[in-house]
Amino acid sequence: MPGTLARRLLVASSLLLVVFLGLAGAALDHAFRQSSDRATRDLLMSRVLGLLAAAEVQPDSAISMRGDLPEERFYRPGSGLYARILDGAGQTVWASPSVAGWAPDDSLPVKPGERRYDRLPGNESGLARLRFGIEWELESGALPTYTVEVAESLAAYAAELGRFRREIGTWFVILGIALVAVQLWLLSYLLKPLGRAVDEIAAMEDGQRERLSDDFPSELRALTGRINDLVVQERSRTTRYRETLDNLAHSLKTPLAVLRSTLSAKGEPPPELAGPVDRIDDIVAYQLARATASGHHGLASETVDVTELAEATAAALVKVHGDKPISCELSIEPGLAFRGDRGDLAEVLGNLMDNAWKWAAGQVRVSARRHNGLSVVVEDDGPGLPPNPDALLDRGTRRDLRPGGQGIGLAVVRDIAADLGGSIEAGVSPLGGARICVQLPPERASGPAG
Amino acid sequence: MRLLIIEDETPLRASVATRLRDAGYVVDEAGDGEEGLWFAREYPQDLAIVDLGLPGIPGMDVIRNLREDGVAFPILVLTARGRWEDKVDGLGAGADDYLVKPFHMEELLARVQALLRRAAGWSHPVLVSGPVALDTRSQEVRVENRKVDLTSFEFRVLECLLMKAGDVVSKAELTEHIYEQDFDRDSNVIEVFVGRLRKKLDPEGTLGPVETLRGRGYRWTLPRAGQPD
Repeated sequence: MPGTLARRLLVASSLLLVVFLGLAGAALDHAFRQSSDRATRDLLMSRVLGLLAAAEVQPDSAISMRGDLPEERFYRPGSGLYARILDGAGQTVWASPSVAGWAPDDSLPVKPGERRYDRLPGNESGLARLRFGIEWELESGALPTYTVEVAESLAAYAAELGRFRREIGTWFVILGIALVAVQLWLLSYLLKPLGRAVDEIAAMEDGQRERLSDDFPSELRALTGRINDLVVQERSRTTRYRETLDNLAHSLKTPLAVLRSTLSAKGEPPPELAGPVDRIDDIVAYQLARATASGHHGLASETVDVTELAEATAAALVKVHGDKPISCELSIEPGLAFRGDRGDLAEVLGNLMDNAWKWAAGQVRVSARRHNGLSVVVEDDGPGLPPNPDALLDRGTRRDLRPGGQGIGLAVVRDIAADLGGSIEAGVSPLGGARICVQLPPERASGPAG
Repeated sequence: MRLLIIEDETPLRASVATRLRDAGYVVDEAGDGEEGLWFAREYPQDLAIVDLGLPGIPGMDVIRNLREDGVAFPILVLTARGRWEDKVDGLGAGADDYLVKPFHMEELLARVQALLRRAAGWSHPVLVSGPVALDTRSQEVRVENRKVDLTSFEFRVLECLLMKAGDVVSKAELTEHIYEQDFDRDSNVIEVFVGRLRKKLDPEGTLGPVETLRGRGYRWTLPRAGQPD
């Protein structure tokens, strides 16, 4: 599942929040309706009792009202408050003036003592109705039964419910927003150490830090401590690796040097011996240079000042090619840095600049700038590359190349560039000679090659 | 010219030393850094060849020590590591040139000659001074384009004087640049060599190339030439 931890947490807890608030809302709604239902029932009952208090039964069982009805709305037709009194046969014996034309079809009488509460569909919000059965003892000793029916419009109730729901809704929205906000704050508070770890790792990659700090929460410390250990291990492994290679180089090449000097001690060495020695020398030189290159990447890598290294290389070459008056122009973007291994960059600059020095008539130009990582261009005013320069850059030709030519140096540069995910290009310089351009991508995008 | 080679691999050191002696140099051999530093302090060296992979004091530290001692002679580094980072750092630490092992002996000799010559302020392999021309590569000496045959010792004396043309070279200095041990410090030998040189280079006595400064030594008097600047 893609996305960030923060998003996962936010989505999960927001879902939880919606479910929780939804259930709470439903429960509150239910409770409100229950209680207002009870209130309606009580209200209707009190109206029934009010009517009964005002009612008088005539000897002929007819009903009349003494004085005013308890509620003004009983007089207004369509006011939403209706009352009727039915006799035992279901015939209307009295109706409030408000009833005018209202006649629910199932106004059946109920047994004495029974209260029947129900709802009727009506205009807009419907009606709540209460029927109450009574027995009325007359002076004659007769016991006629009546049903008092009171119905009241639920419009007020519906309005109340609507108001309640709106209010609940508003509060829940406010509550929800507040909870999400708190959650976001909590999240950022919880994730802050993680963010700091990420920042510190970035700082390590940029070479501003040696290791992660030790004051992380204990849950993270297991991770950050391990990263620190890994970086230390990686650094010491690289150092050990280089030392091993150095030892290997020393123990391979010194005997070769002895062999070669012994061969040439007695004049011109026999070609059947000198040839293989040269060949072994070439292979050893190439493979060692290859193996030494691209020692480490990522967290264990360093920030290399390109200007400084190029200047040191130029100074070294001025010494080495002391008899050759070369004017070397360094045009390097100020503050340009290479993220990676100093040895790799030294190898690239050294080989390219040494070739340029060897072939140049009098002028060498080294330019470097930030372009998709690092772009280094080395040019000279020499005779230029052979007609098919790509052959020099081709892996297959490396064994046939003699040291001292463009050969091994370019092959090593090509391999380093390839290892770092970069490229090398050969062409013609405006100075008249060769122009080699090496492109090294930014490290984080490339990663180590297998 | 007196050279110092510091290399722990005995056969290699021996064959390099032999080749250098054949080429007319006085050679001190050291098997480790400590011995090398002793030779460098004890004898006036003109150049040192230092192997970087030395036991004990690492070659890089030997170079730094020498430079800290105020030593100005050129240093040629021998290294098994062909890494540019090491080359750049080594040259930055005070070395003047490097050779990656295994090297060709002639390449080593050419580098040594070039370094010596450059250190003496000569930028061309043929040292030309007046009508005298000394080719450091072929070890040929010509005066007005006439080849002059010199013995090995005479050649060494001439090379030493010519390299330091214009400066006074003491007899002791000349002796040390010609003999490996100081067992024979008879300055008369030097006088004999200088006398023979004068005769061979200047049979008519018109040039007067070598001046004798009483009690101080000798000086090459002819002006340097052929230096493309």
